[in-house]
Amino acid sequence: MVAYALDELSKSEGDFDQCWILAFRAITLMNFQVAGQTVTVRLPVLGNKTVPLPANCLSWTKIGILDDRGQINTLRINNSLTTFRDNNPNRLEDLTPNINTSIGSLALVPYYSNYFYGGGCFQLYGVGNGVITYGDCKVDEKNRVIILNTDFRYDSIMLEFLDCPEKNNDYEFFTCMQEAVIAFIKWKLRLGSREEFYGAVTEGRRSLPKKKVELQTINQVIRESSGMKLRS
Amino acid sequence: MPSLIAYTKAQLVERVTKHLVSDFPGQDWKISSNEMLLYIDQSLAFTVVGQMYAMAKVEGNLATPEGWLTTYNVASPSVDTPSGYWYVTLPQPPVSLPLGYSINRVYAAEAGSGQSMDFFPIKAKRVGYRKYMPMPTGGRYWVDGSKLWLAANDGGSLNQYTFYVNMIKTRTESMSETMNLPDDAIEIIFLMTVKTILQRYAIPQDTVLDNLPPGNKAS
Repeated sequence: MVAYALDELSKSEGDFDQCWILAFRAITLMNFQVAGQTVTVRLPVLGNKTVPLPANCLSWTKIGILDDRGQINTLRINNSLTTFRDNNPNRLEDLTPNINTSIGSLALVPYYSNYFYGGGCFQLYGVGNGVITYGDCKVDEKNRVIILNTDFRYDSIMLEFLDCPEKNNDYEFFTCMQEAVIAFIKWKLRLGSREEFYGAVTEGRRSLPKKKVELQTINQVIRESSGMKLRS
Repeated sequence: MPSLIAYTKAQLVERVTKHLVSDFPGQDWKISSNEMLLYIDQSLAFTVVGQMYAMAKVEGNLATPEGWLTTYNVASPSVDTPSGYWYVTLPQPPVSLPLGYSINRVYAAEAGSGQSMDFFPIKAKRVGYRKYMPMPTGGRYWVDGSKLWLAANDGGSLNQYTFYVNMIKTRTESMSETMNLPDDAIEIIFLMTVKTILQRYAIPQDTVLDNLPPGNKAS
């Protein structure tokens, strides 16, 4: 793409590196805006029940564990988990509870009855039930670690995230965004305008894989919206 | 195809000399070939830069005319131990055009592997802060004077490679080498050299004009 831009602008090899940096910025910008491609990795759980985020992770989209059907089951976000010493290998030992089992933190919580039948209140399991939870997590953005509950039982987790172009690597990007990258370079070299860039982004965005109208997309809508239900 | 006569600096020196003395030089001719070469070389550099900027006014962008370019084999680089960067010595400092025009290409080659991708030029003003930004895979180069610094993006050794530099040449290796310049530039170089030498040595010239009145000419 950079060579295309240099050719269009009749620039020399001397401008390659500067334009390469501009292309890098264009890709980062468009990743955030329209063209982000998530990547999925399996990360080992450290002994202190935390998982460091990969260096190229811009923002995460799914944290979960893999089931036997190849699906990611997401972990419950538990904001009560503390970030205290979460980058310390001895995190678990340092989490000295103020309340421990000898006091019984849940001892005084009353039974919750949600069903009334025949003059009495009962617990009816299954109503208002959430999704099955395999564990809790919280992301500490400052220390860049995922914190898991202290009794998390699995060796690894699956992380799906939006990545940024890494240093010292060529970076793959949507071909439909090619003209947008070139427009960005022209804009920053003061040979184009911001409007032209966003025009090219809008044009490219219409060709992104999930933006095209295909039979499969329509089938998916039918699958998700139709079912055995009362119709008016 | 007819074989053309190679145009050398020796021929240009001969031509300028004959023009100035209107004949073959005699005993009183004081200008050496080396001195004349200095005038020719400075005219060469001045001409190419001027020619490129004149062309840019028409075309809207700078471009190096191919006739000026020479590819040098600058052999294997040496390493500067404290900095860890590699360097080779150029045959001459590049002319005062932006990098990418003064030096057109730099690439490495190795027997068996062939030619590398082109190294990326880093302009002098960007060298200092360049390492704080992401780096494309491959090599990069920057220049100070006639020293060409080289580095690979992963800091790898460049020891075994032979380097080739494609750049504008305005200096003389030998009097008998073929000059790398477009023929249309010869006229400007010739005139500039003659003009400078005439001013420097105040060589008298015969005024050969018809219809002049007889007697000494006042002006």
